[in-house]
Amino acid sequence: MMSNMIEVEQLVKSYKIRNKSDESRFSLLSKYTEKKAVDGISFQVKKGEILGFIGPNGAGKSTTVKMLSGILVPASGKILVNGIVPYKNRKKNGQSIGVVFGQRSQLWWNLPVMDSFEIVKAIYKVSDKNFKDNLERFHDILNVGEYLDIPVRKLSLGQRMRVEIAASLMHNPEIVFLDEPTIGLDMVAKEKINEFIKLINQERKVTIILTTHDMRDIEKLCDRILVIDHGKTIYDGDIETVKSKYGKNRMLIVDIEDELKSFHINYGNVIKEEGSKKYIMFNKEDFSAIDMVNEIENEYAIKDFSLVETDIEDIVKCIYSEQNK
Amino acid sequence: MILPYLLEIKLSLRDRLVFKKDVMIRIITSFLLSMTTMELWSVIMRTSDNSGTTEGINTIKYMLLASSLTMMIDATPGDEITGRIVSGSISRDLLYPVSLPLIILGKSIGKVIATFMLNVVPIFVVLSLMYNISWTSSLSSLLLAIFFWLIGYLIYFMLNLQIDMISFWWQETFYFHYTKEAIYAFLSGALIPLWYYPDWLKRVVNLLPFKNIMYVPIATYLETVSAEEMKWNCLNMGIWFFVFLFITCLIWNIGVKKTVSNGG
Amino acid sequence: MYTVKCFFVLMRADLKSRMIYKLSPFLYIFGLILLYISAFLGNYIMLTKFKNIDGWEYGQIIFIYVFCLVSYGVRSIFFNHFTNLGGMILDGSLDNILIKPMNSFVYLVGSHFEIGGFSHIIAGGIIFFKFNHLFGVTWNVKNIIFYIIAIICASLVQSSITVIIGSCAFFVEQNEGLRRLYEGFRQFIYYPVTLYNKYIQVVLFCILPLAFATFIPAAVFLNHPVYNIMSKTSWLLFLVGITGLLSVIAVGVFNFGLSHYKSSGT
Repeated sequence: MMSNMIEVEQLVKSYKIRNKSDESRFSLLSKYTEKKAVDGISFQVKKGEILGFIGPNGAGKSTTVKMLSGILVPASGKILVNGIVPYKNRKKNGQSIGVVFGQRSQLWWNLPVMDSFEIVKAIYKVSDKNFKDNLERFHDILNVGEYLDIPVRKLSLGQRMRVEIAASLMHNPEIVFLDEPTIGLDMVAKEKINEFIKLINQERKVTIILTTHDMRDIEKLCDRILVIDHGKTIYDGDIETVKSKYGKNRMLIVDIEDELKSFHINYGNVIKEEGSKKYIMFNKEDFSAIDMVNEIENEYAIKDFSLVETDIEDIVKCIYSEQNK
Repeated sequence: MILPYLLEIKLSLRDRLVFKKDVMIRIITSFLLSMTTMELWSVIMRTSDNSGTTEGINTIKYMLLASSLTMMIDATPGDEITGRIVSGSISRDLLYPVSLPLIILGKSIGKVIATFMLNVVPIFVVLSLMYNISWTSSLSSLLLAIFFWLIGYLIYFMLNLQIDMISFWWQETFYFHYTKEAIYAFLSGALIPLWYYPDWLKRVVNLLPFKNIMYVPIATYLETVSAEEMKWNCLNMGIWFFVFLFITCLIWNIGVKKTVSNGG
Repeated sequence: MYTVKCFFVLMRADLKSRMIYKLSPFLYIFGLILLYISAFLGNYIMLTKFKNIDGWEYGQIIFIYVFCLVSYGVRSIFFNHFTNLGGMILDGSLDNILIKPMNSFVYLVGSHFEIGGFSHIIAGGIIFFKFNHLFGVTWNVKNIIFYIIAIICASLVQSSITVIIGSCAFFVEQNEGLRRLYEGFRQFIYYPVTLYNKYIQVVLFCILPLAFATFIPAAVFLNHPVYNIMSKTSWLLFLVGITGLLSVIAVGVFNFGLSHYKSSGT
């Protein structure tokens, strides 16, 4: 049996949130409510897998990642990263992981890129040979070599993200956590970064946990997705299964005349309403689009309608709405 | 016409009152700082046989007044213009039909009033009680001292503004603020009463504008100033006030012209 | 050693970071030096006027004054960043440090080299050499070694207090009040602590042990009746002992705070 890179079982983490109602000067004594950020999550990740973490903001994704990187101590549950317990062996864990935060840089703002790389080299004890090889490799794919002398603050967002990812991989970690790595980037930059991630994953079998809201990135990169909401796992399965399970889905978008009339249908799933536009997901094996349109026409006057294939985003929305039923 | 400036004062005042915790913390620090001075000076006066003398009592009173005035003066922001130039918002500020220096003055006055009400008054009262100080000067001395201090404050404000305006050309003005602080503290009587200074230093100080900010108002209130000295003080104050006014307006106009011509 | 090497790598990086504008750091330090010298001059005029304050010769007072400046300078250079812990927790930069496979405390000390601290040291140095003849201390080899040890201890005392106060940010959201208290009480130790009333002295010896940063180190060198309870060497040993204790407590509080942070999150 192939051992797992990451093993998480019944992980629980709660925060104490201060009650903001009384902003008195003695706020040391204010009351707390306990909020469960992570409520019994379990999953495993195999070596070389790319796992996509999906979930609304506040779902518990970053808390889980923080526990995996050893920053937070779980309230209960089992957690193993590369065979060690992260919070018990913070330094050793740190050696085998790399982290990229889309919104918070790990680089030294005023210094040339090369300096940040060299600091990584010193802190992570990267050998001269590995350092040189990695620099060359990263330059081949990401063109990082062009920026070595430029201070980080002078780079564009796309350039900076490339450097961030290169820096996170310099010490050849076995696992990399990517938190919104492509946020704010244009299409071309996103493309390049995703290419790089895929390549590194294939070449070095780096296990990757990708947290993102961008479904296209998920579709391109991930082998598996884990959907989290309110601290609980809602869905855990590989992309192919998801696609085939929900792949038979189609989306019917109808634009009805009377937008104020409440909209109910017997077939399919209304996953979104935008004023007079209704988005309905249905399984093409169960109903045909024509039947659905006719059915709707009985109740509501239709201004316009269109039919689209579903993509991951809609599938996830469907998963959410199914969960909420 | 004057309304926007009054509004600025009011807003600045209200701003300071928002965070109660903040207010408490500031009072504690200021109190401790003032108390250091008071403790030190009361020991010095006590152990140097000066405790009963007029000079001894006046020194203690002087130091308390100096601490209080320092608290108010420190509330004056020194980087309003620098901040706006660095962030680029100066171009927007110059479009408004109000004078930016006067707006900044309004803001400063608001902060000074807030500091006065929240910090100076409580600390002044507590320390006066702690060190058994009775304030016995006449009303006319008090009013005259207040008047002198207002002018002195404006002189300080203009000095501050001039340094702030250096940012039109060189953006890291806080070095100059440190230098200004150093020079001003030493030459204004903020550190120790000027009557202790050696004669040659007194002559230098008398020619410079700094004493108007601290020494002149305090000494006037404490009635340690002779009529002759008072005349010279007024002359010094008047001349320096107008000199600074001229310099400030000059630098402002040149600076604005430069900014506008460079496109902000 | 790995940790030592990392420490220097980080320090070099931070220093280089600040030198991007070539002139800046020097202007900054110069401005601050002027400030402290000017403050000292005010005190000096007073000290020469009242040559003896409550049994303390003004030369002795200046000796203590120098300790205050220099120890604070050293503390600022290495440990100033700890006052920022609250901010680092809020903006997430503390997490960035926790991810790295090295000691977080060392990282914090090394990654922030506050050059402003040099201004205190230089100002203190200028005053020291100008008024050396007034101290009443003969600078033989023994005294020089003792002085170096005393300065190191004084700096560590101030640094420990800073670390402890900074670490409160792990427990309480706003440790601004404590920091301000420190700044306020710090002013007292420029002068011999016995000048003040007993409540202040209690605070300076027991609660915020700032007296150990200037008053006690001076005991190793000055001849004053209040120090006669112990020999000078005993004072030094006492100082080293207290410094060691405070340093251990400081690191302990920091580590405890860090583990509390990890258990409770933001």
